[in-house]
Formats: sequence, C-alpha cells, structure tokens
Amino acid sequence: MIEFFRTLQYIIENGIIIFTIFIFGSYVALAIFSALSMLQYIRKNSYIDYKVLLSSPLAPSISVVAPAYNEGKTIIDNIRSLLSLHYNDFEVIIVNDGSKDDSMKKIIKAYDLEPIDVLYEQKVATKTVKAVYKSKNKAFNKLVVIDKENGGKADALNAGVNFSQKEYISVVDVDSVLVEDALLIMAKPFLEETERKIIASGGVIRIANSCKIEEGRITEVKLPKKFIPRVQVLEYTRSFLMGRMAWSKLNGLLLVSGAFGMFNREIVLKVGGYNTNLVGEDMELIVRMRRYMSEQKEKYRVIYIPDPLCWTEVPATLKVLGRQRDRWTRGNMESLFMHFKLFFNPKYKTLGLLGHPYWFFFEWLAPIMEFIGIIYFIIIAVLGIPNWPFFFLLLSVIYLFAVTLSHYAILFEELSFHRYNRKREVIKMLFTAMLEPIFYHPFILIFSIRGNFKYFIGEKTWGTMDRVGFSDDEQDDKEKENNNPEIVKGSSQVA
Amino acid sequence: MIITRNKIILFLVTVFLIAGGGSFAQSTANAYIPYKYVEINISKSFYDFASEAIRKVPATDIDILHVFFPTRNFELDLSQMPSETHGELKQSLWQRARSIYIHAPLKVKVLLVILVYLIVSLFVLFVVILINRQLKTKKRRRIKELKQEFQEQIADFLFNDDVDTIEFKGINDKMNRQIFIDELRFLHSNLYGEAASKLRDMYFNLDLHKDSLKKVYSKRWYLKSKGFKEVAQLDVKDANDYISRFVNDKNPIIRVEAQVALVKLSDENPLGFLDNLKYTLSDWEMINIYDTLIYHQINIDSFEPWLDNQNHSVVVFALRMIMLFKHVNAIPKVKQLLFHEHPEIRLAAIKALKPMESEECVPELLQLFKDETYRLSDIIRQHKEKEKNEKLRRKDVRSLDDLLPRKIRYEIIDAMQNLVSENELSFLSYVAKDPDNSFAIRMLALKTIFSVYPQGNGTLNELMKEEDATLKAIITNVKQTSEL
Repeated sequence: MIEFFRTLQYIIENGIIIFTIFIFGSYVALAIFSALSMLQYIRKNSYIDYKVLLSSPLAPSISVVAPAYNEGKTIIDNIRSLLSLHYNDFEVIIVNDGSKDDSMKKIIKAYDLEPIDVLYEQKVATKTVKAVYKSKNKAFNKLVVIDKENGGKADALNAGVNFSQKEYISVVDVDSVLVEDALLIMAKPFLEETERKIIASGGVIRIANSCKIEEGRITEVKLPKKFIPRVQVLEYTRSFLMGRMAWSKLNGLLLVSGAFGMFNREIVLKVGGYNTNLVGEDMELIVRMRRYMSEQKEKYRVIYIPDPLCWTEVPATLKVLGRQRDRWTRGNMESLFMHFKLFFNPKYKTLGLLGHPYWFFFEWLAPIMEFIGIIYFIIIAVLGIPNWPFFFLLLSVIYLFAVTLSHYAILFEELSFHRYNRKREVIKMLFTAMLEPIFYHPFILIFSIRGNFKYFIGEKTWGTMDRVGFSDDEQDDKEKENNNPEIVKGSSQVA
Repeated sequence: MIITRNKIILFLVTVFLIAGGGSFAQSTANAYIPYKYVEINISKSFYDFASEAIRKVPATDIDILHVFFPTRNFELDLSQMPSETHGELKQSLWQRARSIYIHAPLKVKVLLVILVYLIVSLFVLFVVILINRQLKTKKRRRIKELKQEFQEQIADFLFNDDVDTIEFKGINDKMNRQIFIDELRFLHSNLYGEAASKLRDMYFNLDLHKDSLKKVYSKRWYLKSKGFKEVAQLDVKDANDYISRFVNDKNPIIRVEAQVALVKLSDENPLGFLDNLKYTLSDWEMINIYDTLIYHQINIDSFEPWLDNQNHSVVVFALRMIMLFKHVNAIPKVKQLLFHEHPEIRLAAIKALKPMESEECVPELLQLFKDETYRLSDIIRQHKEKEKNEKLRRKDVRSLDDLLPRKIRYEIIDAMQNLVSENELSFLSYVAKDPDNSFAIRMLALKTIFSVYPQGNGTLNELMKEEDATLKAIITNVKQTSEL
C-alpha cells in the first residue's frame, strides 16, 4: 500500500516536472528557431522594393473581406483605412452581418452606395444576403458592401468568400488597423514559392491600445497605459515573434489570426469555407486546409510574416479578457479534437507529428497540468507535508524562467522592429514582465480552465460538433451541401 | 520500417510504462541509497530522505503515516544529519551554501545551477536591452542627421554649377558611406536624364562603386544581394560575368537580384540568362524582370526564342511578356503552344492571345476547349472510381486536379469574348446549358452570346425555354445588367 502511494506520488510529481521540462525546452527551441528565421527574414527583406508589386499587371488580385457587426461608431474610418491600402488589383468587401445599429445607414450615406443587380454563386451556404451595394462615386469603386442576415463571423466571411472572384482573400477584422503596405508585404511570399503551394499567410498582430489613431491610421505608437493590455503586448510578442515565426519555419503553423490573414481562395472553397458552428473558426480552417492538402498529397506551406502589419485593440478589462480567452480555449479544443486523426499520424508529416501534438500537449494540456499541479500542492500543503525549501527553489526557477523568456521577447522586439521608441516604455515592459506571472498569469489559467469546463459540459457545442464532424461520411455530406450552390442575387428592392 | 500512427502511440505508451516502472523502482531504491543521490520531491522535507537513507530504513517498514504525515524526527533534525553537514552549519554563509550545494541531491543541484543561470541572464538581458536601446536611439538620430546632411549636399551638387568645389563630408566611415549610397540610390531611382547621370558620375568619383563591388564579391548572401541591387541601379558593369554565375544560385534571393542586375546591365541580350535557367522562375522573379524592362525602357525585339525553352517557367514568362507587350508577330508560335503538354503553358498561351484579339485563333481555341473537356471528364471518371461513387457530379471533385482544366476552359471563353460570331453561338449555348459547368463559365458564355448582336439575343430567348432555373436566372441577369 505504501509503495502504491509512493509510486503515485512519484509519478505525479515527476510527471509534472518532466512535462514542465519539455514545455520549457520547447520554448527555448522555438525561441532559437525564431531568432534564426527572424534574422534571415530581416536580412532578406531589408532592401526589397515592394513598389514593383504595386504597379505590376502580373501581381495577383486580392479581395479584402471584413465582416462587421454593430461597428457603427468606427466603421466609416475603418472602411476608409482599408480603401487606402496600397495595392493595385484589390477590392474591399464589407459584410454587414445583420448589425442592429445604424452601421448600414452610415456606410450608405458616407460612401454614396446603391444596391446593384448582381448574380453570383453561393459556393458555401450562408444566411440570406439581402443586398449588395456599390458606390456611385468612382473614387470608391473598390468598395463592395454585402448586407446579410446575422449568422456570425464565420458566416459573414463565407458570404465574402462567395462574392469574391479574386485569387486571394485577405480576411481582416474591420476594427483592426492595417499598415498601408500590408497587402504588398503579405502577397509577396505567395509569389516567391515555386515548389510548394502557399495556402495561407498570417501576420503579426500588434496592440493598438493607447496608440494614436487618426482616420484609420496609426500615427503614434505607444505602450498601453493599463496593465492588462500592456501584459498582452508581452504575450503577443512572445507568441508571434518567438512562437509562430519558428512554426512557420517548421511548416507546422496551425493558426492564422482572424484579425489579419491571407488565403488562397480556391483552397478555401475546396475545403468548404469557414465552419459556422464553431467558436474558433480561424484555427479550424487552417487545420482543415492543411489536412486537405496533406490528404491530396500536395506540397504546401502556411507562412507567417513578422512585420507589424496589423494593429488591433485588445481587452482592457478582466471580464472581456476572460471571455476572449475562454473562447480561444474552446476554439483550440474544437480544432484539436475535431481533427484528432492528425495526432502523431505520420501520414500528415510535420502537421501530424509536430504541429498537432504540440498544440495538444502544450497549448491545451499545459494549463490543465498546471491546474492539477496547483491542486496537488494545495493537498500536500493542507496535509502538512510540503518540502518548503524545495518548493521555493522550484518556484523561483519557474518564475525566473518565465520572466527571462519575456525579456528575451522584448530583446527580439528591440532588435527587430523596435516599435516602442521611448526608453521608459522599454523599462515599463521589463517590469511588466516581472509582474506578469504573479498578477496576470493566474487569471489566464482560470479562464483557460473555465474554457475547458465549458467545452466539456456545453451540450450545445458538442451537439453542433457532432453534426459537422470530420469522419469521411460526414465530410462528404457537408461538401455535398456546399456543392449545391444557390444563386445569390443582390436585389434592388432592398435599399 | 514503416512508421504508423499505432506504432507511435504504442511507443509512447511503452515509454510511459517504463517511466512509471522507473519511478516505482526509484522510489523503492531511494530508501537505501546514500542521501546525496536520493530522489527529492516537493512533498517531502528536504532532509527526510537523507534521514531515511542514513538510517537505511526499508520503505516497506515505514507506516503510511510516515510517508504522508512525517513525524518530528523527519523534520530538520540536525542530530540525524551526517557529522560534516552538522559542522559546516557553523561556517560562513558562502561555505554553508557551498556545503549545501555539494551535499544536495542531483535534482536540487541542477535547479540551483539553472537558478543561478537565470538570475545572471536576467540581469544581462536587462542591461543589454537598455544599452541596446541607448545605442539604437543614438544611431537612429545619427542616421537621420546624416541623411539630411547628405541630401542637402547632393542637392547642392546637383543644382550648383560650381560642381568641382563641392566636398562631401562625413563619408569616410563604412556606415556613413552605406547611408550615402542608399540616399544616392534613392535619388537616382527618382531622377532621369542629366541629373541621374550626374549622380552616377559622383558615385564613381567618390569610389563608392568599390563599396558596392565589395558587397557583390562578399560571401554573405545578404550583402551579395544588396551589392547586386546597387550595381544594377547605378550601372556598374564591371562584375557582369561574375553576377551571371548566380542566376542559377540555390538561394532564390540571390537569384532574383542577379537576374534583375543582368537585365539592367547587359548591353546585348538582356534576357540571355533565361537560356540556361535551371530553376523554376517564380512569379516574384517574373514581376521583377518585367518591372526592370519597363522602368529602364529595355526593348526586347522578340520573346519567341524562349517559347521553345525546356524550362516551362521560362516559356510561361515569355508568353506573359508577349501578352503585356502585345507582340502580334508571335501569334503563330503562341497558337502552337495552345496544345503544349504542360497546362500552365496552355493557360499562359490563351491569356497571351486574348489582348491580340485575333479571330484566326478561334478554331484552335474551340479545339482546345474540347481537349480540356476530355481531360476534365477523365479526372472526374478517375475521381468517381476512387470514391466508388457513381453519383458524384463534376463539381464534387475533391482533389485539386480539376482546377487547371476548369481555369483553362474559362480563359478560353474569356479570350473569345470579342472574337465570336454567330458561328460560335451553338458552342456557347452548349457550354451555358451544361449544368455541370461552373456558374462562372456559364455566366461568361451567356454574356458572350449576348454580345453577338443581334443573333445573340435570339439565342438567349431560345435558352430561356430550358427548364434549368439557374440558366434562366443568369440569362435574366445578363440581359438586365447589359441593358444597364
């Protein structure tokens, strides 16, 4: 009996320690990989002239699809910002997803819109499109506004994908601010590759809280004044500059942020567009596209651009942050479990052997392991048997590791894009990194556990997932449904 | 050995079991081995195991309460400690710390080393970040000042008649020279004629071309590429032979810069390097070469020599250039390529013919449409066999194989838009009627029918009698939007 408890004790404690070593090891490995690819990227693009793309008739065509729901306060500036992007052959498709505010009225007035008679194929099923608008003013001839019934972000994106006739689709959160050259920089990698098809590319998302924004443009970059957004600057820097850069190099990237990404339209349509029954539609689409390409034995890549192309506001309160993280957790879980076939499946190469298991163990399981560890420690503390010297030693190492990693991320940012110019901003970031593990991370852990809990008890979510499962039969059914297109007609009666 | 998913999972389970067994064995052994090698964990007091080890108490003899509720004698009881440890406690702090480290179990030792490393690296990082920030801010300010200074000096040089008296200050150091070259390149790319050649002369007079050539001959790829760009921009032809070696370099970045440099610098046959190109020419390379041709007004008499190239991307490039420069003389040769075995070439050939609006191509385009339809049918047949589903429609093809034939068929109808006469109406009706054709191609076919005046309208009226609702909706839309 004693041996049993001792063994259990050893397995739990050593298991957690081994898991932690693996996680830390992976962070260090990813940081090294990222540093190498970042260096290569910066050197490679330091003298590139993107203007050649701007005027070239050989440049690919792009549809910028931006779904909008109750964005009346900022929509006019946001559209103006999208229309002023530097690119030749592109259109901006704003999808009004049944907003309840006065967004539509405002857009119609500001951009002098009128409904057009247009007929196009609904390759992916969506909620009813009420009307399609274009501007009477030629200055806005790149703008298309689709007014449709509310169906959620994924549904709105599908409506945009249906309308688009261009080669690439760039998906943008309408409240995000893109730098003027964003499309040029994002399009270039699609043109460079000859051996493999680039199916998607994602960009860095930077945090716009406290930045000065005028007419949809960032005019002054400032570090967020509030603690919560400021910590997220660190989080995003770690994740984007140190994580995704490395995954892109390894061709194991599973996520292109919904805030800004570019996709090969044909592949998006082949896989049936966004899944409207999920909360994490952006990650699931990438996983499905990758899975599709692997199954078709096509050589492909999902790439990642480290340039700060997209700026967005992040949650400034714990309440909103909690909702976001809870959703992210469920989104991750949906994609991971829906495509569990990939798990350690050599048929899918990097995706199956590295990408999926990494996300499974270190993105999904890590907070759960951490939570188990904390519960276990509380039990032994209550029982009065903790080894306090060893505990404090371990805690110090873990704390210092977390802070050091954040400081490395700050160094990355400093050596690469160097967006925060004031010295006190850097000092603030360094100190924020020291506070993060104590005052921020516990909340993130709670939100993640809550997301897990919601996912497992959420009957509705499970029901929906069952319906769109990824067994072959179910997939075929879904495809058949999608391949049975309806025609969408922009009616002039709905003005 | 074939690695399957089951084998991997089996392997992981085995590793897990071995780890579990190992932990079991280790936990048992802990009770017997000397304390400094004892496994230490978070739930036992630091010296508990040591005490057990010294007393060599077998694990089986310990009551469960002793494991989870250690009694007083398991706590820090110095009388239970080895004598040397006891003695060292009276020594200095450093000696005490050293003694703890020496006698600590392996796991503690490792953690202590990591802890020290992290503390040091955190301090170093802190200092490095702040120093870097300081230096960077200083450097940025300096660069800004230098740029302004150089701009003023160059403007003086360009617009001051007393050319010889201008002395360029501050270009003695490597960084400054590079900033100067960059400024010069920027201005040169925005100037034409006399001003541009004056800048170029200055570039040579100040021996800045030697800096650029040094980069060209550098072993570092990023310097080499930058060097290629500079010599191309400022017309330094000394290294042409050397640069030509890199059009087939394995690094695509060097390749594109070498190609662009040669297009710009070669006096004869600027595209000569295409003859022996080993790698596939990427779209990015094509865009850059085209841009160089346009920007520097380099005239290429004929792209036909590259239509026979073995490298299919070179043929595609030549076809694209024929399209963009509207080389009508190349039509007969392009027509032949409509039946090339490579689909990308067929597609590029159709696109090349479109702006030529040559009616003589219509029979070939019609023939090609038939061929592509056969190819598409073949793909669908294979797909049906593979899926074992006879009911699958053409639109249900899951693979990417059908994309190119579809694209080619669409482009054929698109190319024919301004070329068709009443003779092609029945063919276009056939395309429009087929429900298995994509919506886009049906719509295009109907639009093309409508453009044939006045017979097209009659054909559309005939097609309206069909029962196909989609067809009817498209016809109505075509008529409405065209009338508008």
